Amino acid sequence: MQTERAPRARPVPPGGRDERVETGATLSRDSTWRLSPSLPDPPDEVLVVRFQSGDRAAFAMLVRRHQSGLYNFALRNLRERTAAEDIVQEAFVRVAQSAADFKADARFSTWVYTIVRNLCIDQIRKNALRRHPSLDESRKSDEGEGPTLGEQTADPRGRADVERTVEGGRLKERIQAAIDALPDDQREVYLMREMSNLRFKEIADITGVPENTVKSRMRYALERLQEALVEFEEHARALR
Amino acid sequence: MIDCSTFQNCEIDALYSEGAERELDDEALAALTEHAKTCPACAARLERLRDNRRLVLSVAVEPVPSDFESRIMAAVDEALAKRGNVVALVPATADAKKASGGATILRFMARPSFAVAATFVLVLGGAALMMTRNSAPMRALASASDESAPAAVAASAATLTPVPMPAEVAQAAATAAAAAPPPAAVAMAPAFAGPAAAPVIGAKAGKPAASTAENPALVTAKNLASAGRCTEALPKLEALSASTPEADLYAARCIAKTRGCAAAEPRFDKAAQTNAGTEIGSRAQLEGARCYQSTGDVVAARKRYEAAQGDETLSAEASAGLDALESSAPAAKPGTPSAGAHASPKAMPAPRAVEPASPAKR
Repeated sequence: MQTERAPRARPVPPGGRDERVETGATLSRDSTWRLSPSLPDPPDEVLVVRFQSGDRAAFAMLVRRHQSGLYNFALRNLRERTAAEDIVQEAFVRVAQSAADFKADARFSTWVYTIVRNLCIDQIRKNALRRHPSLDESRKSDEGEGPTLGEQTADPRGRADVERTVEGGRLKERIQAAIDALPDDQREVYLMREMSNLRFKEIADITGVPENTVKSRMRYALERLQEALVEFEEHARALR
Repeated sequence: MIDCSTFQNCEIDALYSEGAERELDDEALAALTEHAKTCPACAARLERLRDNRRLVLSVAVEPVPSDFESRIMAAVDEALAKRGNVVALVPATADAKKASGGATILRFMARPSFAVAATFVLVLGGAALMMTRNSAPMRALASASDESAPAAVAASAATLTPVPMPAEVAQAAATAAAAAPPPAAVAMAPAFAGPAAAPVIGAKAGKPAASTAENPALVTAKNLASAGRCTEALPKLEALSASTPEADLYAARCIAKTRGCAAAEPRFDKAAQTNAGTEIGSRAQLEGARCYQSTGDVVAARKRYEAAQGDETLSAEASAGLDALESSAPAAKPGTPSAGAHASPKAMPAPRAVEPASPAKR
């Protein structure tokens, strides 16, 4: 039977929770995944086809594979844990409801990230209608901590507080604040590539802009982050 | 060998060319790596980007809640359980768009405003239907209002039991039914049971006779007769009989009902003679024959049955009556009154159901 090279294995969430084997398996023309102990986890698209046939475990594998990337993408966009969880859950529900319409030649990750992105945009618009950000309000509303918008505006780098930040374990908040400070178009590209491990081509499909534009946004985002986190260069080198 | 410009253009791709979802293939990555070995500046740029990447990824990734997967799967299971009420959300294909269109219709029909509008239409439609179906009793009530025809109202209302009647109509119908004479009193002619059952002379099937519609006095007299009030109706019918053939026939019927067939026979003969050559005349012959038969005058009955046979509309009825007469004739001598000669009208054989009359021949 003629076969084609299988889609690349799904992205490994940056958190390292996914313990999949690297790919190299084949996908037959009739989209049947030949399960074998020697084969890695099947690609997303094969799992969707199996779910279309009633395989609930296949869908659970999709959830396990993408939940971290989707959650972090939504969390960094919305900055609210509960809202991010709700949106990811809603996205998977919609995927399950519409799985019958999924075509095997489409990318599952493009599909599900498009849903989450649209839900995030809707949520952000709703939040914008509900309230306006205050200069005294923490950007991390669910934790009640982190630099306020006023602090970021007055001293976006916060060099004077570097040592205390690192020692006090606030590096995480500073990095998150730097990501939050990115323009929206740059931040979403950065999150999809960095957190969700989507390729530039796929990000271009999701966002609807040319791939070169995606790469440009990515470059600007990386340069901004590098500038914002220049105080932590030593710390970064120590991580090599 | 690539130059620095090309390297810088590709360094973002090189940054994400490790592990899964690589941007560059092995050959391109090898070329960049070869350039970095010979260009410390480019190598340093790429290494700073990698350092920064590691720094961010070391802390920026939030772990998902421990029960997140189970919650998602529970929500999915619940949604799939309600799948019949779920709308497809990805109209990526023509089929999906079609399904989405159907779902849009379903969503529209599920709106409360649609239910209210549908209820309104149903109520209006039901009211219109009820008004249409109640037209007969309403007409009967209108007739009863001037001279009253309770039996007619009762009969008409009785045919409409499947449709709820307005309270006033139902009450009028019940009153009329109670006031109507017992069935025995009208057994002679079911035509008197009500307009719906009366033989309409000179009218096509399902269409009222023109003369009935055009002569209010005749309508009133006939309604009185149909209501069993022949004493009141007879003078009116007699007054009309000179100009209205149907009144002639109805007058004979009223006499038969109130005074018996012996008294009605001459009146039937008169009506037959006056309206000879018409359906009304033939019907007078036929009903007169039945009267003569009931009084035992077989010869007179036979003569009139034979005369009625000449009318193609009534020939079947006349032939049947004649057959019945002949089958019983040997037992009766011509001119000899039978045992029932003077029996009350209720003992008379009930006239057969009258077929819808053909157009008047006049």
